[in-house]
Amino acid sequence: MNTKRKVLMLSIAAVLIIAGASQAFAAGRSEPVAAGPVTMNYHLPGDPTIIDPSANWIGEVAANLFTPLVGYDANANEIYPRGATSWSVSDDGIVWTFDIRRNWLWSDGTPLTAADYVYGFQAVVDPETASPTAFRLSIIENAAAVTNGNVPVDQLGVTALDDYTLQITLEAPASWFLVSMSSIGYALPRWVREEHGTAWTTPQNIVVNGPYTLASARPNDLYVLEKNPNYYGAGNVQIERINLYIVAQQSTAMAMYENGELDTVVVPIEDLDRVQRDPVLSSEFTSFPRLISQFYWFNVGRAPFDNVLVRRAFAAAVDKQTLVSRVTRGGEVATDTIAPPGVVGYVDPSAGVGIPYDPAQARAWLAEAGYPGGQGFPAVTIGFNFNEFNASVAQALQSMWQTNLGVEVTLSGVEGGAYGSLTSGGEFNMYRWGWGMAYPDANYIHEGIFHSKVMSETERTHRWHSDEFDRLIDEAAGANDQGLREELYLQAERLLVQEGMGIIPLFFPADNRVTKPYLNRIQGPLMTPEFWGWTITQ
Amino acid sequence: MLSFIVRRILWLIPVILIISMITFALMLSVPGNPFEGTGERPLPPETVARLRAHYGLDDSIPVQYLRYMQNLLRGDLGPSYASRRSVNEMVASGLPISATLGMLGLVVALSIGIPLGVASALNQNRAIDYFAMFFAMAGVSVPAMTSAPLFIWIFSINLGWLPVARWGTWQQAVMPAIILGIGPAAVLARLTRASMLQVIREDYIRTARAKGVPERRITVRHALKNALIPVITVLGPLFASMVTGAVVVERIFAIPGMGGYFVGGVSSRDYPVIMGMVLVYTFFLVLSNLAVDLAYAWVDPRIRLE
Repeated sequence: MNTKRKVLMLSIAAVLIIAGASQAFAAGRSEPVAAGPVTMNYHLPGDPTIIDPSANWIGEVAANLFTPLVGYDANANEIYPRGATSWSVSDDGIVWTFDIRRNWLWSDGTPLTAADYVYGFQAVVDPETASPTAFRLSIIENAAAVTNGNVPVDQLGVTALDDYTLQITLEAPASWFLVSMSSIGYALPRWVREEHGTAWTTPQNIVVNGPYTLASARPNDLYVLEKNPNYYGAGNVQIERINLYIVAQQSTAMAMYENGELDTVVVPIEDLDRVQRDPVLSSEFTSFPRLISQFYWFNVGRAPFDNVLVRRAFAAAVDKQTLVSRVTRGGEVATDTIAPPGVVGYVDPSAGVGIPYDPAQARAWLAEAGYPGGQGFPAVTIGFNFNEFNASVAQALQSMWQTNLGVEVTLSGVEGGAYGSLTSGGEFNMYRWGWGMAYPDANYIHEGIFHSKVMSETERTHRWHSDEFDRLIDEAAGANDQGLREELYLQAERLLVQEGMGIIPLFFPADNRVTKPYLNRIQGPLMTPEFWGWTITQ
Repeated sequence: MLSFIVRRILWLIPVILIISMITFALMLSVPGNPFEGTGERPLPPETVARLRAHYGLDDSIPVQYLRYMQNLLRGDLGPSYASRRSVNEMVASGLPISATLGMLGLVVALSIGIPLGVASALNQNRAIDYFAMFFAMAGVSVPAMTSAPLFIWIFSINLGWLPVARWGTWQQAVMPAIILGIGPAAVLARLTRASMLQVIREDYIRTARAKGVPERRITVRHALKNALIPVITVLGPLFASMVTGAVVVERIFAIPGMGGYFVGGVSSRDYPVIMGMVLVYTFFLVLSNLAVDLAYAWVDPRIRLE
């Protein structure tokens, strides 16, 4: 080949590379900044994956596309009408009747009826959906049997008496049922879901009844929501367009916020000090406890933690205040009890429930258990799903137990994908766990993880459980009086974190956030932001 | 030449077979399963059983493997368990972006690395040489985890020249391409320098000088061309590693390439996603090596591909 040909070929190659590159750019081109609609730029740390509200936990996208029967206003602590305009319950607390909103259209113009809610409830428990949230409806008549495939889905205790009356029959009275309807039980468009299968939530196919529609979706990159003119409350929705940018790296999202590319973000722990010192950023900073509990399970199935004195000793040796103020430092709230503040059943520290930090008492309990000064104490391993945060907490606990009790503790940080099966199998002597609230009633955490009926057979061999605890939680479910319910939850907590000592509660994480001054964001304690109530002033 | 290409492409078959078998076996033997979240309530056993049956996970590993390969022959990489999207779709959306980023990174690496290596060799043990090799050392040593946030801080937040992250405009590609290319640039600079130092001591270079060929022509036509052979050898794996190894850069700059799918697939035990990504990467690596072999023949006419 002579030189000219080589030069020619090189040039062709270069042109091809550039052409390829520019085409790839064109394919992934960012939406131009529109001057027209009121737009918010919001950050998502991961892809929403499954948007169908019957097939997944509710995230930012689904919560703003679909409408459940009721809403929950955390600031006023009030349940308010959404898909249902009013409701009533039979005297025995079993049959709930909801009046479905009239003159309300799906985004494709189809009128919305009670049958759409029936279908939405059925979809959650339908074994074909394989929803991780199906257990949340197990209080409804036949729900568990439907999910297990024992009875057909139309036997679920949810029926449409007419176009605008929905009736839900429960298996047992449940005081928490109504508020739990604020984050599950969304109406679904049967005709679209049946026609397109799992592809029904793509922007081309999707039909919604919520405040927003899905205008475009590029997985792992950008989802765009646009105001839905058919939404019953569209007149009050001020932000017309929401760009949901998916940015996995928190520090990158923070930089985008500082560069004006995002309107609100969670502040990474390593930036907290800087943000709080900065005159501008500190004025944009808010910290709010989240409805999440972080704790450690004891493996009560084998020595040494089969002895309640040892468990109490370990609990009393943990200085949670130091843990949150010196180690995690993210505004976490230390706790000796498990239900987060802001839910029915939160136990105020003044009630004296739980085991506070008391190293002398801890050593006394350990000695009483037969290990004075930690002598003869066997080697124990504590497990956690590995990330930097969990590791730093585990290391702090390890050093507290070594200092205060004189015992050796080994740490075992496990990759997240393998963690679940190892802990269910009872692999570790202690292991880390967290639980977020889907509705603001302690029932969700007590019945959700500590009630023996939700534990597998293996889990029952190593997780603490008690008939008395189960009875208290069942009784609270039937107690419509909030005062009585709180009293029952308090007794249950006393068993769980003091007398029985099944777990060591650690802290409630905080939502540390910066928000641009022009964005009026309503702080809700639950996981899902409700964009339709937010406003932008410019 | 043609028969060489055909033969090499046929070699892809056993390579893919062996890699797919190893990946498949390793993946299924790692603890954990795709239908179990961490720190969440696990699915009821009946639901897990149904899902496992639906995706055929109860069959023996060889049966599952054969079924996977059958679908693969039809060009079907299967559905992701986590998102229920098809893996084909994920590759189709992620690969062009990762490949473009890798290509831009390679352009950066070549256009910095080779001139630096040449300059360094021609000025051996002088200031330019020391400076270039210091740069090469720094380029190899500083990971993207460190350099990328530093670049963002300087060029986006302080100077305001470039957007912080994401993909779609040429401005957004500048920082990731440089960060991705700078490590390989350092490798290429060192390699070019060493190879160049060897070549410029050869007899034919002295002959060319004696004949009065201009120095510039000697450097470019006679020395550099021959010095590039070892450099070309590493280009194939280097390019493949830049396409596949951009996981960190893609994450920091929020680029929706293949890296995110790969990491997500592994951590959620999303078997079809893991397999799909590994196979695409394998394919890429083999093709890059083939391209290198073809490039040899072009640079050095003495090499015959038969």
